[in-house]
Amino acid sequence: MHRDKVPLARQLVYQALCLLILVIVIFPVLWVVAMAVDPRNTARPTSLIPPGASLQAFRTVIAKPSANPVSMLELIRNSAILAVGVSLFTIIIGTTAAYAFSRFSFPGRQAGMLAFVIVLMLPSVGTLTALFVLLNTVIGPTLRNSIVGVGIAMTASSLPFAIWNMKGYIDTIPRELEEAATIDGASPNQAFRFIMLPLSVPALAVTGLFGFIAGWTEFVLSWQFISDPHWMTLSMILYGMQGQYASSTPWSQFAAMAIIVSLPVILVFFFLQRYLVSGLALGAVKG
Amino acid sequence: MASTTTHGSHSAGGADSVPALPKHRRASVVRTAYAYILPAAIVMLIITFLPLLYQVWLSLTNYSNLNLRLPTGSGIEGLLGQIVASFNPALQERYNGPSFVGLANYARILGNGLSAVLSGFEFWRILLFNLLWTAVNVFFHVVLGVAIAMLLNVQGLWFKRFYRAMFIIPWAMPGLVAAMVWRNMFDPDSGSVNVILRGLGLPGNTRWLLQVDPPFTWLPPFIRVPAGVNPWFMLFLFMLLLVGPFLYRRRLRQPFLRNFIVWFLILEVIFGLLAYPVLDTLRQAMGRPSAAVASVSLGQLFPLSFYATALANIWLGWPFMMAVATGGLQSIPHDLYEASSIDGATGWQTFWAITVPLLRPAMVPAIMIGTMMTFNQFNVIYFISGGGPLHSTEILVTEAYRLVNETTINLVGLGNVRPYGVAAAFAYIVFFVLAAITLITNRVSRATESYNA
Repeated sequence: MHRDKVPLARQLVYQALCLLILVIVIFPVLWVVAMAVDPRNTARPTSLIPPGASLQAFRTVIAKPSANPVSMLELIRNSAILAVGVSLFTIIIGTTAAYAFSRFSFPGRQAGMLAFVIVLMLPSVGTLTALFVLLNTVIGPTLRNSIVGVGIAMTASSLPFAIWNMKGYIDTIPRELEEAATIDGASPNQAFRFIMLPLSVPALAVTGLFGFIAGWTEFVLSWQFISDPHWMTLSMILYGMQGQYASSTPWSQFAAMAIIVSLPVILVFFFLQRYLVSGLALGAVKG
Repeated sequence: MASTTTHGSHSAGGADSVPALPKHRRASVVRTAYAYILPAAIVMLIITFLPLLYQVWLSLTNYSNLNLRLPTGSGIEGLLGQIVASFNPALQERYNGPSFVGLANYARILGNGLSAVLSGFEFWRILLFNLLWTAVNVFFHVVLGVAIAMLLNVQGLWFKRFYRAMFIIPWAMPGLVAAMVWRNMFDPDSGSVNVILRGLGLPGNTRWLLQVDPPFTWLPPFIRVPAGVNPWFMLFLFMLLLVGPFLYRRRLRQPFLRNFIVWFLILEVIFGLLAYPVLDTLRQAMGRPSAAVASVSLGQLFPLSFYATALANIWLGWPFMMAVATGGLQSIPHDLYEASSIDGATGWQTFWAITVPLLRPAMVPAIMIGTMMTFNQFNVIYFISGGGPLHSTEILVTEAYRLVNETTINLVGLGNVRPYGVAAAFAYIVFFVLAAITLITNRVSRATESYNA
């Protein structure tokens, strides 16, 4: 529809549609916000700005996040370590492996790619049994209670998608650029660092984003591994907040905690948004 | 100049042999490649591949929580000891190992032997439910994602950037938070869904997540079989035979609808009318008594929580499709649209002739990823419906989690234990199902990916 201006009537129709979609999209978020500021600790806020709205829930949650002796600062620190660590390691390890699969020919390439594809389809529950048993029998003492253990496990589960995505992206970067560098005397390492990496920034951003989100919101593995309160993560506490029955959950605090947990993710998403579209575009789309 | 062989840039399946370079350069290339892969390989080996292998052994034994205690040796020695002991009963005392049971776990799961000891466990029903839930969700994800992407792609739309940023929110919200919010919203008394319905004057006390009886049990197809045969397996066969031939069609033309209906009626006659008499006669011929009719219908697979969780998941999932579609739409050259409007094509014709074929290459990988993510969507099901009223909305992954963490089964000779061996077998069955789905979506996508811009 190659026009510069849309007639006003049609524009208004489109705007109405967009607003309708916006309401549907935003509604649950507003629900959470209403829950958080409602002083009555109810799961069912009756209006957007409840009477007597206060930020008390936030203050309570920040001061004492859970019954365990851990402070909010420690929680944020642990979650940040996990999220940033997983993100960085996924990028570094995944990009190098994707580069090798994309550019080099070597014995075992086909087998390796097949193995990664297989693992890509495996949900985490696929290895949950084995990991649980192994954890309780063998690995237990060393990796238990360690964020490093959880981080390694998380990296392993985000690697397949990272490698697959990065490889697809690297495949679309013309080899001529690296070949030119090689002719000029660059080693493969230099070609990788100075040519490939700068060109792959959108895909790197996407991979880093997904790694960050995975690490920040992870609670299943952390719940099984970590029992020392000082090493708990935000997501663990959030998950632990829901009581057995609706009446025993401190809803306002839960909502406040949910907002605190979601905020960094949403912010990172917004900042890296412009990379999302191009970073996800695989070979077929890039012209 | 040394021969620089161009290895073909878009290597979908590339050469698996080392390129024709002088020997010392060849070795150096291979060494560099391995060095680049090594970190990833090590991490995945420890966390994924070795546990996968270990799990193969687990699934062939009757491992339970009784075996978690290692009396002799710790760590690797105890582990290997258990493995050896499972084949050599004399050593079992020493290592507290399980017994080797071969494929018994697999047979029990596939033959529905577990439903006696584990409530709500009907493998074929869970599998069929999972497939249908995924299909419905992905369909709406794609339709909504593409439609809204097109809406936001209109030139001159005000606040476009604002809308794009806002519409990302469902995707950006952590899954756990979103799921719990939606569960709140489906509360029968004052969840927002019912509140809104009441505000619109509609009946507003539907017990979305709790109502056991599905609303549309009259939905065909109906399967009638004798009581000894697994009706859910027959329903699965029915759906497979129904959809199978049409997965390979490239174009949906007019005879499609008629062929589909005819094929459906044929299958319904076979499974609904003929199955019971034929199978019953066969059973009698084999010496078993005549059995009563066991019947199921497709509508029984759709309790209210199906619709509730589907709604929540659609809300969660369409922004991803919208993002991919936006990228795809922006790469379609405008001249094509101009040319088509000059030729007098209507909007609908333009959509099908230009937009869809050019959008397909971008959407197909996204649909594949989306299908896998929806199929394994643990958060939505587990936290919203908890597997549904009486386990009617369980999907494969929630059931697998349940087997590991939540249930105890009365195993022969062991009492009530956590069945890790059975859980391991189940995990492998899920794995094979996923592999099959991936292969099928690969075939289908290759069949539809016919347009090269």
